[in-house]
Amino acid sequence: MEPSQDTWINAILASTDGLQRAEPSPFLCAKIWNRLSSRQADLPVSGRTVWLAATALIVLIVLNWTVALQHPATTRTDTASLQTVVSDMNLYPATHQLYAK
Amino acid sequence: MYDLADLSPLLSTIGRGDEAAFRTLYDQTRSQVFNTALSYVRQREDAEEITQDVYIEVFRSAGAFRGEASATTWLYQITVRKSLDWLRHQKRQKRFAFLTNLFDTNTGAILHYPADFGHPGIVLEQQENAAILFAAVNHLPDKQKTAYILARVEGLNNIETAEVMSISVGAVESLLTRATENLKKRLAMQYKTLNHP
Repeated sequence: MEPSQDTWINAILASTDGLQRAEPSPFLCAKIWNRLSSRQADLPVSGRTVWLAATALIVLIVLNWTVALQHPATTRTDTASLQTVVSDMNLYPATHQLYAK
Repeated sequence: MYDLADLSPLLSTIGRGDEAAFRTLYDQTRSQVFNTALSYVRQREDAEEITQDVYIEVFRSAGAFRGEASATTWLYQITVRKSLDWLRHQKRQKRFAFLTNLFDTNTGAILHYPADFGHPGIVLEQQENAAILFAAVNHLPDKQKTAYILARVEGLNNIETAEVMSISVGAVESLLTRATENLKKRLAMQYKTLNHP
């Protein structure tokens, strides 16, 4: 390494010696507190309530899904019996025209 | 540690939402938090943003502070993590900027930060050299960068640095040696470019 290069590098590395601490803006604490207050205001309900509501919703969905899976035949039976009634009583429309003479 | 009184009692008071305790903690530690963040991001406004994020996290999680490490170590850990997250976010933003445009859509400000950075705590005649140093530090791997900033810029001793980084003192020494070697290599290249363009 050239002596001048060595000197230059050492000068760069030593440039932070005796560094004075910089200070943030005097209004920063107020900004932080304002952010904290506004975020607290954004949450009128507690986190616990949110979790309880979410859990209740999930339970409701699961129960509905389970019930729907357990009773699919009922719907089919109802549809079948309705079709029987329709065919037995000849409830088919004679024409597609409404109020036909 | 770091000439600060034990802040643990303050944290438990802050955990109960005490604003006065929060302001006391802020007044006692703002300089450490802000200067550490400034060394990473090299922009005053960004360092202030990080400082805000750090204290918001401190306020939110003060109640959960168990005192395994000292309060100042904990504060430094949050600052380092937030600063590194900020740098990663900046890097992602820079990559994306090449695909979109080079300027902020709202302000029109350039998204790519200039290499020259005048640290407000450095005497005027050293500003240029310090800008070169901070630009070189910015190229170090994250762990070397953190060790260098905490030990060489913030002035923590190796034991304190090891506590903040949750590694051994030996590992800190090794990181500092490698960081200094890497900085010397980069600066040597820069010297050649400057003198033989």
